[in-house]
Amino acid sequence: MRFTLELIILGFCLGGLYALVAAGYSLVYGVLRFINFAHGEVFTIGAYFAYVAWHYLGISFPLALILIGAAGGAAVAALVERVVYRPLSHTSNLLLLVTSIGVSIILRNLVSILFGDQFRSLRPPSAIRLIPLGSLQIPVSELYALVGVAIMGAALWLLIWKTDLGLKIRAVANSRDSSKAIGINIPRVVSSAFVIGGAYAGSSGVFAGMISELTPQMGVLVGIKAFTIAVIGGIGNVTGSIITGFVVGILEALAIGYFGAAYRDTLVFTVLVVALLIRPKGILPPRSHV
Amino acid sequence: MQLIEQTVYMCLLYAVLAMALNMAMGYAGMLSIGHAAFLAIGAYSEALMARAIVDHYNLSHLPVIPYYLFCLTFAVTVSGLAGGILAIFGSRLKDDYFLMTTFAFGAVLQDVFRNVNWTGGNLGVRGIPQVFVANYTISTGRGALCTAIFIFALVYWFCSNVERSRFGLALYTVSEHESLSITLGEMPLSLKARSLATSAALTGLVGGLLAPYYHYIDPSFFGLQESILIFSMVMIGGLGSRNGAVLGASLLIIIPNLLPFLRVPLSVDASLRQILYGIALVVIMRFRPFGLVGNKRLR
Repeated sequence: MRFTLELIILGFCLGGLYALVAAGYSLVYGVLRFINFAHGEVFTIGAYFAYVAWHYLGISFPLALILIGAAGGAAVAALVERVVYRPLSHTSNLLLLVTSIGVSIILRNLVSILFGDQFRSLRPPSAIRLIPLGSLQIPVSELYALVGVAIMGAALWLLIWKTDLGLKIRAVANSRDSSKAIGINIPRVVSSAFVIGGAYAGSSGVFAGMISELTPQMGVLVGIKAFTIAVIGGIGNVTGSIITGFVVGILEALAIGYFGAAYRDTLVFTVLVVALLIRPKGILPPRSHV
Repeated sequence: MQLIEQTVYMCLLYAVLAMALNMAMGYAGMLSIGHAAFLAIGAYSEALMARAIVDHYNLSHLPVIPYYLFCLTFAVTVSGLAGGILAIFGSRLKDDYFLMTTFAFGAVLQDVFRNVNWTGGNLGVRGIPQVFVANYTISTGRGALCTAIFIFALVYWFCSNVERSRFGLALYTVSEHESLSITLGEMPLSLKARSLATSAALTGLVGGLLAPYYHYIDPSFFGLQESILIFSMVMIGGLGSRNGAVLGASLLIIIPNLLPFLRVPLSVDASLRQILYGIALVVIMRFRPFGLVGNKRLR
């Protein structure tokens, strides 16, 4: 029982990560209608930004690392959008998807050239400590991640539903043409969706680095899992993404605990693909298109 | 000299792979970044079957007739079936969702090959028997080159026939205008499933050639990088064109092989190759969305 509970807490951490990355996916998919294959690499790059800040600049305060990761992710996502995707935005979404596959290879291998393929860690020394919680032993890093994920989830909800920018993003996602007609600056809204999605992916990368390791490949699987979570949660339904993210994370943690780490991805992907096949439009209906 | 032979061999086999993937992507419009899985299925089927035969009959190597032909047929059948299964589940999905499903398929299969006992896990299959015709090997060296030329010609001829066949024309209609093809009495799901199965079977055939060529195989040969490499070849050459597939394959095999002449340090060589593929993909999509010699546009 204790073991299961500890796994479920780990599952909440993983699930929170997936949820944040998936929410970013939803945003970008909502405004541009294309699957940004490079989103997972933004996650990786955020983590490596924090790694540089920690190991070369000596910043080890977790909140600062998370903000640096978010800034790094946002900057890279915005840059890629501006340089690569925007010139193609009037073409088909498959063309954009193929381009984003190219972008993801480039980014991943740049990280690999700069930092090498070995495992790195972002775990602050203070975070290795276990703290007792009733009969459970929880690593501090997991608590950081949990709190961080909760705050960021709430912030995203507020941003989308309570701010002017959120309203514009929802408008563009609903209908590009009508938004243009009422004078919304579409390229700017698309940029800001990329910035927000990038910031969320980047900071999730930092969380991931705190609870496990960094490698240049870390974003590949997270990216695809996040995408499928976004689909199951109903693309554009942030609440749906978050709930699905937690379910998948807990499932994965239980799979690691009971079947070993070997089949964690197989299990998750099987569930995801089955869900995709049964309900290609998502389990939860999209509330709006963001 | 050996380097040139090797490069030509790889160009030919990857040209076959690209033509096979083109069968799914170009003719039927089913984009796939999981085709390395079919390559793996073909290679593993050939390798395991060949080892079983050699052990059972106490042979020192594998004669072409009938054993190697049997192994190849087996590899083609198994991978074709796998393609059919993926198609049955996947062909209902929209293009971009299908692409993500193929990705998941590739990742899951690689995981399975890594963790299942009878495929040798991470160590893979070693000591794959060599293939001989009358004391002359056709699985490595110059013999392999001859095999590759033969298979390449065969597949090229096959693809050109498929393009002109009723099946190929129906596929073309389906990928260009699905609802129109239904009114013409075609069945898009069945057509797509058959084209994916054919594509997977041809990919498995190459797997069956590569296994004895490499002498050993392990799951790391068949990862996402491999899938994306073949995918890029088709996209760069041009969707729907077999000459494009051949051109794309040759370019992506030859250009990275020039890197050693630029004295690139070995540690970044693999990453630089990947970056080259990525840049090629981005640039082609930006400036020539039809591919170099393709005639079909992504919609």
